[in-house]
Amino acid sequence: MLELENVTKLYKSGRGAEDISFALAPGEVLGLLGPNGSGKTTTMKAIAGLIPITSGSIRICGIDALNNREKALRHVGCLIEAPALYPYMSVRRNMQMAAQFYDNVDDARIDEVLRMVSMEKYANDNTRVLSLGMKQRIGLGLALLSKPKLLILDEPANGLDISGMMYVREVVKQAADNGAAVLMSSHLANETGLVATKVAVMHECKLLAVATMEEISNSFELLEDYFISVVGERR
Amino acid sequence: MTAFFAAYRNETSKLVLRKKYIAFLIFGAVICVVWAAVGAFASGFVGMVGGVAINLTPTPMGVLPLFLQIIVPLLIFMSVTDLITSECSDHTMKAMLSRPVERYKLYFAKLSAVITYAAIYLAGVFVISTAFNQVLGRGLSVGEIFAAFASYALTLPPLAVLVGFAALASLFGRSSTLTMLLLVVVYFALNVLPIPFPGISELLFTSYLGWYRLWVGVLPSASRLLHMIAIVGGYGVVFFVAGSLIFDRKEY
Repeated sequence: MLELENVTKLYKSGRGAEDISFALAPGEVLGLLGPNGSGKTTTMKAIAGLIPITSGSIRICGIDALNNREKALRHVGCLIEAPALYPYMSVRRNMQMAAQFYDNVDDARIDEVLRMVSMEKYANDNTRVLSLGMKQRIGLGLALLSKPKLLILDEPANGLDISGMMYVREVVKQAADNGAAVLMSSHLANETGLVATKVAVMHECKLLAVATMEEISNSFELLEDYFISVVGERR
Repeated sequence: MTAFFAAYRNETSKLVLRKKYIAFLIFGAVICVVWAAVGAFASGFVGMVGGVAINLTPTPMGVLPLFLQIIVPLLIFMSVTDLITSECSDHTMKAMLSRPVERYKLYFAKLSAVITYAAIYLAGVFVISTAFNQVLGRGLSVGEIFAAFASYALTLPPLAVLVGFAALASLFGRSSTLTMLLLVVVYFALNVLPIPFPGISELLFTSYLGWYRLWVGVLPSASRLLHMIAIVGGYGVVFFVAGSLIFDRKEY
């Protein structure tokens, strides 16, 4: 579903993501763990085509995402950093704008997604007046709108209350059960541990290790311990 | 092309859904109405004083320079900064960039939406000024209306070049207000520059905004026409291609 080979994106500051390689199969949930500035968001932005990469290759559903962005992104839904919403439009209008790009998204699907993210009551409200948590829910809805085969979620629980965080977990599990591959980042290890089937540890722009949850739980009691052991080896 | 049209519809609705763009359309109509009313009143007044029937009601051709040289360029600068610089600074550009559309298509969709808005604006000015001239003025013949329509249509290529220039400049801006200000200053400078240096007038794309005057009536020589088309086309290609390439490499 997703293959990254030696992907490097370095900003002028020297930070970014360096030599990242991993693969993600349908139904898998890969949790990207790492401190702020470790390269998680850069990696996700590179996959979603928001930043051009310095070198490497990205394939989504077997399609070269660098040379065939339009085809590759048809299979991707993403929520990276804060949700990008037009403040002068209603929630529904924001969704309709996104829907224009997909054949499989009609008004009924928009209503369905609005119900899924519990925002149907606010469908006609201007997004400017919504709270951070509500905006995050809409962002999640926008990512799910086209029933993507690859779901990219960058810190999806940001700004959400307890029920919202539980809801995100539910959404991620449901997407994976339906055959989607999910790539999600978090700096909260326990949150990642609850949904991920695989965990990748990033530190100082590099991908240090990738392991399945099964492998991790065989050797470590907590995901934090695994993270510390991987990062500690590098220190 | 489906992705382009989807992006084009979205970019157009971004302009239509903002109240200020509707307000500007109404403002244009009000200018035409006030101008026509003042013209009709002044015609009567001059006629009374001089005893000769003089018609001062503006024709569509009479109001065109005001809109073409001042109001429409301002609208273009405003809409381009809204669709490019503002979206970069408030990060809403990601909403479209994360969708299945090639970046160059998205860029051209933005430019096409602005050109469409300018065309609709001018069409509105044409219809209102023609209607008022028919009612309050001396009335235009079919031939005159056709010539006026052709003039309005001919303003679109140089306006498209202006859109390309504004879009290219706005890619470098970080604040929409500053970018808008910069565009206005540069546009003013480009219009003023030929006064002390008349020789460079032919080389500036802004000089061709009023080229409709050359097309309607007695046509200049074929070589002169080709020369003008080459300059306007050349600027257009440079602005559009450079803008598209920069947009393609930009990080969001």
